[in-house]
Amino acid sequence: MHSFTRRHLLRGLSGGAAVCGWPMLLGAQTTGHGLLGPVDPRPTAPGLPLTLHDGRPTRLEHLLRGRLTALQLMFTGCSSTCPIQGAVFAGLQQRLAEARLPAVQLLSVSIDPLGDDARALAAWRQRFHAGEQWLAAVPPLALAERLPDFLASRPTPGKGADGHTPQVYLFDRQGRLAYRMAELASATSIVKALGELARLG
Amino acid sequence: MSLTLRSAPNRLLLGGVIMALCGGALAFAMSAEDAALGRALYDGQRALPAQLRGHDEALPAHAARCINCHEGSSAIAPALSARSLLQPQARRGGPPSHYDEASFCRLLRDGVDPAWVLLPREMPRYEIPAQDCRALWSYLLQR
Repeated sequence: MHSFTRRHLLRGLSGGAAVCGWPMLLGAQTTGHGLLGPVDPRPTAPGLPLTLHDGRPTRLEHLLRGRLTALQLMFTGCSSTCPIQGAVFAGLQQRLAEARLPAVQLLSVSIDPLGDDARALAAWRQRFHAGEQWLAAVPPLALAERLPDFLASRPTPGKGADGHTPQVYLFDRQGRLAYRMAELASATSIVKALGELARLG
Repeated sequence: MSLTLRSAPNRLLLGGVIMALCGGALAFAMSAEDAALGRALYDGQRALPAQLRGHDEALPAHAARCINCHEGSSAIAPALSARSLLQPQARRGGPPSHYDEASFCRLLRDGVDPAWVLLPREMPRYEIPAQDCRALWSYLLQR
């Protein structure tokens, strides 16, 4: 019952966003191309308990500290853009190995705590041959909206029913949001941005 | 006057009827074959090489299936059928347009619709041979 309601909510978020006027709430940046580019000042990621794909409990702020992170929002029941997002991360994983950027991790965070658990996330990672530096995690249901709200990750009204944008968000070593990539940015461009972030700190 | 096969014209007539029937049967068989191939391409049973615009990496087969985005309650792309493809309608803010086989195949390969509007990046670019594209087109027109 809850799963049905939750997934319907996820699928209806784009319609709901149109009704509720997300562009008005998020300001002029949401018109046209949406929120992307450098984030200044860099806000610190919110405190958020997470369960990793291997079942270990952790917190978002702990995961982000001390390394650069490329983060994406997804859910394993998403059949449209999320498989593509996973493919982008798989390509990014490969590019990062070639670029030899130190201390970089990938983090896929589920927006569907009702439908996703450690087992589902582990299976999802396996589908894309995720390595050790690619983590997947899910927050508790009560805090499911905290990270999407922080990232201002809502789809352009009428654009999709997945409830999130297929953007990659880059965090610096202090756990602060530093850059929003364009939707479905290429692995090459993400590596380039991470390289700049590593250089600038 | 009864119809017999003794006369050459009657034999020619019978031969023509038989050939027409065989041709029709052959055409039907080819269409059914195309439809089966088209269905396999649509639901991903048969993979098509694909990548996103601006990306260097190929998409894994399971991420590039047509049904992922064009089918089901969580579809984020238009349903594909004879009606949606052949009927003139405004698409993606462009002028009214409709597809034919050539423009459909161009869309799959280049990501440009019949009104020359560029499709969103979510729509993969496919490497699809002419025969496969024809089969997919035939299948979609039967939906």
